[in-house]
Amino acid sequence: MNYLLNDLLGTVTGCPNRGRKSRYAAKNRGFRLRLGPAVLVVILLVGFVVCPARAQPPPATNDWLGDTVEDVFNRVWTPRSRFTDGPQVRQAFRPVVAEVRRATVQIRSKGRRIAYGGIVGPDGWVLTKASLLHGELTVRLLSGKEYEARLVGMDRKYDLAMLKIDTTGLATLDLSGLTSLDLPGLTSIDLSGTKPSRSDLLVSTKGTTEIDEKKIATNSLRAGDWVATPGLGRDPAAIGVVSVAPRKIERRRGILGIRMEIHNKATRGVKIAQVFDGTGAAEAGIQAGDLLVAIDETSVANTVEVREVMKAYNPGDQIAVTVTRDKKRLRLNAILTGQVKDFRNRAQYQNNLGGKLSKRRFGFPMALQHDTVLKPNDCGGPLVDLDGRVVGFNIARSGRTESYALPTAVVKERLYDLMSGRLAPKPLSKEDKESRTGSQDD
Amino acid sequence: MYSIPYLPYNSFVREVAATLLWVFLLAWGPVGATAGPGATVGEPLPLSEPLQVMLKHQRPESVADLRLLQEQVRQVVKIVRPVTVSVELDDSAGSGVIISADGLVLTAGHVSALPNREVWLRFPDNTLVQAISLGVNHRFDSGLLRILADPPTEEGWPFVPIATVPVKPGDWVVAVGQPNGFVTDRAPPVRLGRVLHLRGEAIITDATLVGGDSGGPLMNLRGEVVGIHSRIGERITNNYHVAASAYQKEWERLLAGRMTGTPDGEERSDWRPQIGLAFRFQEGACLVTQVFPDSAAAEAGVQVGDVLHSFAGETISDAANLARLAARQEAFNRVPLELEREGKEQSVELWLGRTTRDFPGIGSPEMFSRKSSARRRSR
Repeated sequence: MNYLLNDLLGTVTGCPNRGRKSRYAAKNRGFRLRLGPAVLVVILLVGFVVCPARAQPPPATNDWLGDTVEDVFNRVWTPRSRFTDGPQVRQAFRPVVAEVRRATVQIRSKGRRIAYGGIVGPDGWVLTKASLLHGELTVRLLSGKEYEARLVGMDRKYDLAMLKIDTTGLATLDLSGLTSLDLPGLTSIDLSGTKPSRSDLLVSTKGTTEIDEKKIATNSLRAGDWVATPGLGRDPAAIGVVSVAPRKIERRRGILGIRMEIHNKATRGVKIAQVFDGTGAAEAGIQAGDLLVAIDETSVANTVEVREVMKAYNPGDQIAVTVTRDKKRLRLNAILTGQVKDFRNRAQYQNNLGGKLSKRRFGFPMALQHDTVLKPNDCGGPLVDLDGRVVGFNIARSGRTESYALPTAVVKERLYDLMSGRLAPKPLSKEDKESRTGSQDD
Repeated sequence: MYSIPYLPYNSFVREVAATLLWVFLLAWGPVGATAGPGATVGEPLPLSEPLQVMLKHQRPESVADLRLLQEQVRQVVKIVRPVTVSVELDDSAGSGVIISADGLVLTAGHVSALPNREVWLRFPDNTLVQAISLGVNHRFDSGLLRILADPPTEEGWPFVPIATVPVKPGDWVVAVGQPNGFVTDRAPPVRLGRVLHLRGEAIITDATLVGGDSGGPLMNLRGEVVGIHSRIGERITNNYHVAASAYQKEWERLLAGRMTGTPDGEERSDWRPQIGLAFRFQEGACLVTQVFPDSAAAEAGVQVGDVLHSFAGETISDAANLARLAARQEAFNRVPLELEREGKEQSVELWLGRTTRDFPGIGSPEMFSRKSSARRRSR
């Protein structure tokens, strides 16, 4: 200790050798004579370490430059322990996700994770978010083993997909969990059926509602309750709280990006007059002059029929568009987009601040909203409460303040159809070998 | 320290009692004193012993800790959701929170923007009530509203109290509001966050906000309002709230309906205060010839034919004098006006409005300088 101090003193006094000459002689003399500078140095050192944690960054200004400067300071000076979803808080969730992560998987493609998934059947049945899937898929388990995955079922309405991997004896998710979730202070919804029941739990007077606490079901999830998204690690991938109890999420118009000829002279199709830049149609390779004959499996003969068919789709959905060009029939895959990105629209701009949003984030029959910060590729896997019960499957990052999860009861109802083959994607034909659905059937 | 008679001889006890007395008086502070007749400060929620222990460490270290926090958050959500309203005006929408039984509502400055405007408040159950905007402070981005409709019960409007102890970095906070506007059957979404920084009158937390949340409450675990949502930055952890202390500092001005600073995008010099009447001089008396509808004069009940004697305590003696007196005031000041109607003396209070500088009629003070009055005479 004294040796180091003397080195320090040597540096402070500008006599670098002085300190080293005689440890013991310098110890007494150096310490006394150079107490002042030593104390000064110590104070300065302490100051550098302690003060940044407490110093106030320059006063906020309202302009963007001010924000950038603030930003830099925040990045440097906010200790990670202070965040709601910082590593320290996440550690507390380890027992919460310990069980469920054994049945959680990563869906990977081209060496990167594109989604999370959950094992719903011991013989290799994996549930995930459909619109994230493209290319050759593999599933990585907790053990580290990776398997090739086949897409065996796709439910467009819920944006769910069922994958099958070739293995048995897997740990599966327990989906028996919750049977009731309370709605915004007004009703309690019984999810074993689908109709919300006006319960006698609540008395509503103007502006206030009173809940008979004793009558609330014990296994209910309320707004403000913790939810965790397991990954393959010991800590959850992300944590947050329930924001709003399950409700219907309205769909938005999915836009293909074509303008059809109004006075359509073709008999068995619709002539495409224009294809707009930057839309799904343009990217799919649809060209002006093509004759649109079918959308997915439905043939369309006129503009009215096209509009009718399109009503079922959401932004982010992928559709197979069949067109006739130069007497050849082409089947092209297009991903529908949402409304045109208008950054003059302040609300839209703000909603996109802070992170990417899922393309398919509208139109869910029921979704639980929570405030977990997710990236689009963090979706598809299970969401658990503090008791480790699966309360839903993360289905979308829908805004700056919100993520959606399909409630467990709702997902359970789709499992049979997804596994049975009834919702199997159509096998690829030669023309659409470049299809982005990763089906490997032929 | 302070002399308090009749307490036990022990000076330590006396000092403790004195301190507690001061704390009690300070805590009762602005909200209790000026919240209007019939208002009582709402009770803050209790914190259980184990939770207090956990909060000393600031963050949960076990599932039991998480559960303690969860229980408390449930309590906060229960009391704050029913009093979180969507604030709707002609040209803006945001959120607000009721903080007194007589219907005072806190919101963000940029939501109400100006005092004395008609505001509609929508409760989570879609009930609509009318309110009026009182004071606005554009430097802090704070605003106050008052509900005009009658409260639902004798006890007044349900409300949540404002915190008296400020937050510190690391504190847990609950944010509610109406992001992206009111949605039927969607209760105010709940977000949980922690205070990251304090910067003057701004609190920065990682409780995410988005457009529509402005004016909504940031609550501490005791169910008290510690901040009002204001704006966001690019990063998801940049969420700015106006500290409750900003409201308490300016409470008198907010309650009086005064505006501090200028709304975004406006130039202060483009506006001037307006009484809203026209007059002429008749035998040395200032006679009102017109009262503009929806103006400060109209609201105060000034009528055509009234004779104006004094404005803001100063006697009105000639045309220039009234215009100059008015021009010297700030828009949204509350100014006394003495007038005479049918022989009877009356006193009204004008809540001054404002108008653009190019509004015809009474001009700016510059008009009455020597140079311009020469121009005027020549007309």
